[in-house]
Amino acid sequence: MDCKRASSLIMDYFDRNMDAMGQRDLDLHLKQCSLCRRDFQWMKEAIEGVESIQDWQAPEDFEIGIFKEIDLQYYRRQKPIYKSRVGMWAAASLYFAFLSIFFYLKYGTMHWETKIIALMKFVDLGNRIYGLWGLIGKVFGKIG
Amino acid sequence: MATLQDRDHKVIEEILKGNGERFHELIARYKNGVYSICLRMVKDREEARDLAQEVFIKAYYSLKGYNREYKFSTWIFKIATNLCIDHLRKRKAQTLSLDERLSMPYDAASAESVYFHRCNRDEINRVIDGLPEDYRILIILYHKEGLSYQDICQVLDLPMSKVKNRLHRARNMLKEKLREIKEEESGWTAKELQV
Ligand SMILES: [Zn+2]
Repeated sequence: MDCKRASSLIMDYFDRNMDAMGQRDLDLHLKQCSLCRRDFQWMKEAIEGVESIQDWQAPEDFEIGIFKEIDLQYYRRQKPIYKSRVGMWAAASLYFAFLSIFFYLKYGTMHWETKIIALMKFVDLGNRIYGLWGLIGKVFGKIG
Repeated sequence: MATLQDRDHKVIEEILKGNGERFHELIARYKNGVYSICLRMVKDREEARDLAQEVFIKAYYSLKGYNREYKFSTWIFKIATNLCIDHLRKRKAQTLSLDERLSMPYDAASAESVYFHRCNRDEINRVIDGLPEDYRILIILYHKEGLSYQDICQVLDLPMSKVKNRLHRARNMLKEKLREIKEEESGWTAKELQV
């Protein structure tokens, strides 16, 4: 095994990702190669050193500083999503109920002949608008 | 038994329901980790405290956007890392070199009996602080805070290959710096002995 492969195995060792065969190959190489052996020892000392030092302790007044800045009621004041959805559906249902009552009172009580006339007037108006739309299209087409 | 992750998620749920005072549990669990990352990055106690507090304040108001697929620690370390990087960028923009800052305020040795141990610890601190920021944060997250490669990818928004590559380079730098320091020291000791 060459030193390049040994260097890669050394990284696996510190990744804690070493299988038995890799470990055996590395041990063998380290026994034979003083350069890699020294490299491995320095790295072991450095990394174990890093892992052994403790976290810095946050200052004592640390939490007080945070709680001064945050609003503990912040999420209490925000309405949960499901509640606002229930409200929205209730409002929509109420709106359609009133609309239905209004239409019933206005048109539901009419005589059936009046209803037909109203419908025909509505269809006629639609045709007129359609015709006007076509005319505008033709005029603008010619100009263009 | 509930894992730390489960407990964190439960607390977050409570906070979102309106029990904001439960946030102190998350602070208690992660304050030293977050403060340490900030201190390692900015190398100034006052600035590190302010930044770490900002991390928690930002986290509190962003809790609704927290994705439960990730560990809370990964999420809060991500906020910490981003704030520190921003801070260092601003500081650099003010043309203040890192070398001009006060050196790391390590605690004075409290007892002679720990002299050798503390010597070693200070050496390690010097070695870590001597690394460039991009490499320093990787060493801290992996070897100090115990994050996995996957977690680090999420924290730093980097692909796995880059994280691996950089961490390997960071370890090599760490090793070389420690060797330099030790050799420098042994040189001094040899000189003193000659005198
Ligand atoms: Zn070799």
